Parts: sequence; C-alpha cells; structure tokens
Amino acid sequence: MKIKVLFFGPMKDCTNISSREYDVHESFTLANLIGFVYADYPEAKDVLDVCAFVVNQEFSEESNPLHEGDEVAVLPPVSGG
Amino acid sequence: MFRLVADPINFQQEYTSIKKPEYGCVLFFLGISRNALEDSSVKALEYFAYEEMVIKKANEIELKIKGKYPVGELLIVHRLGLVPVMELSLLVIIGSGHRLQMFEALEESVDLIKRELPIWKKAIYKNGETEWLNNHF
Repeated sequence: MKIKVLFFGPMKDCTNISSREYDVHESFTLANLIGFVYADYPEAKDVLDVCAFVVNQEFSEESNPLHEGDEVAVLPPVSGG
Repeated sequence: MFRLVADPINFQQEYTSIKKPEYGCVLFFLGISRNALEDSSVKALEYFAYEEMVIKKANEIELKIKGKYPVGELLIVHRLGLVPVMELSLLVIIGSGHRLQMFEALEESVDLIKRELPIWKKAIYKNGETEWLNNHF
C-alpha cells in the first residue's frame, strides 16, 4: 500500500523534498514508518527527535496501523504567530 | 473565521469586515515581524504552513474559544511567505457585547494559535543567512 509522507519547516530543509511516497506492506504501523524515515534521513536525526508525526492531520498512536492512501506529516516544533 | 493570506494584512479593513452594532468591545492582537534577535539584523520573517491542517486546527480553536467565552466574533488572519520587519504576520480580532472575559479569550486564542497551528517561521538576515526560529512561551 502507498503512504504519502510530508516534510515541513526544518525537516524539509534536511530532506530537500516536501513529500515522498513509501510503498509498504499491509499492517505497517506509524512506528514502522517512523523507523523508515529515521533510516532514510540519518542526517536529520536531531530534527526528527523533536518532531511530531500526524496521520491525516490528526495525532495518532505510533502503534496504530496505517492504511492505503494515508498521509503522514512530519512536524517540527511549530513557530507561528 | 480564519484565513491564511499571502498579501499584507490590513487590520482596519479586517475590522470593518466583522464589526456589528451590538459589539461594545473589540480587541485586537497584532503580531508583528520584528528585528529583536540578539546581535542580528533581520530583514524579514518567512512563514510556511501545513495549510490543510492549519485550517482544521484553527476551526477547532474557534469552536473552543466560542464555547468557553461569550465571544460574538473571532477573526484570525495569518500571513504566509515573506513578511518584512514591521509588517503584520498575525491578526486576531475579538468582537463582543462587553469586555468581561474578552482579554482572557484573546490571550488564550493567541496562545493556542502559537502552540497548535502547524506553521513555521524562518528569519532572513540582511547578510543572506537564514535560521528557523522557535516560539517562546
């Protein structure tokens, strides 16, 4: 199944992309995906350590399974206003 | 009501759009792009957002504030992109019949906007360097 991952703020600078797709097997969890992101972007570890991961714009337990077409966003600490 | 905008925010125009005869109290919060970083020379702040989630979360903030306080109108306008120093990055307007609890409602609104909306700002220095900034609470 395909999962879209979005990168914002400092994380977008680390990856040099705003989004990418992961093709993963059924029953893949958010924790599994976070592991893939850490593995693919080791230089971003310090930023990833302080990021939140949201699924379809909602905070989610890392143990929750992902579903085909889900959108996971990697959110560094916010600084609006 | 919430809007993300790319153009400069005109707070007088925004006030005109929400004012009503029954509002005896209107409070404004103007968040301004500033040059206050230590020993630095900031030319502008640049704002980025996860727009779909910002809109969703901003609507939740509006519902929460209106459910907790007797607010008639809560207008939030946040600018994205480059915001030169001394221009508005955030405008919050609260309109109500009376002032009671409105200062508290405004402070809580601004606090929630800064804590919960997925928006990020980067300082653009006059020497061309850039730096992601954090909010201080």
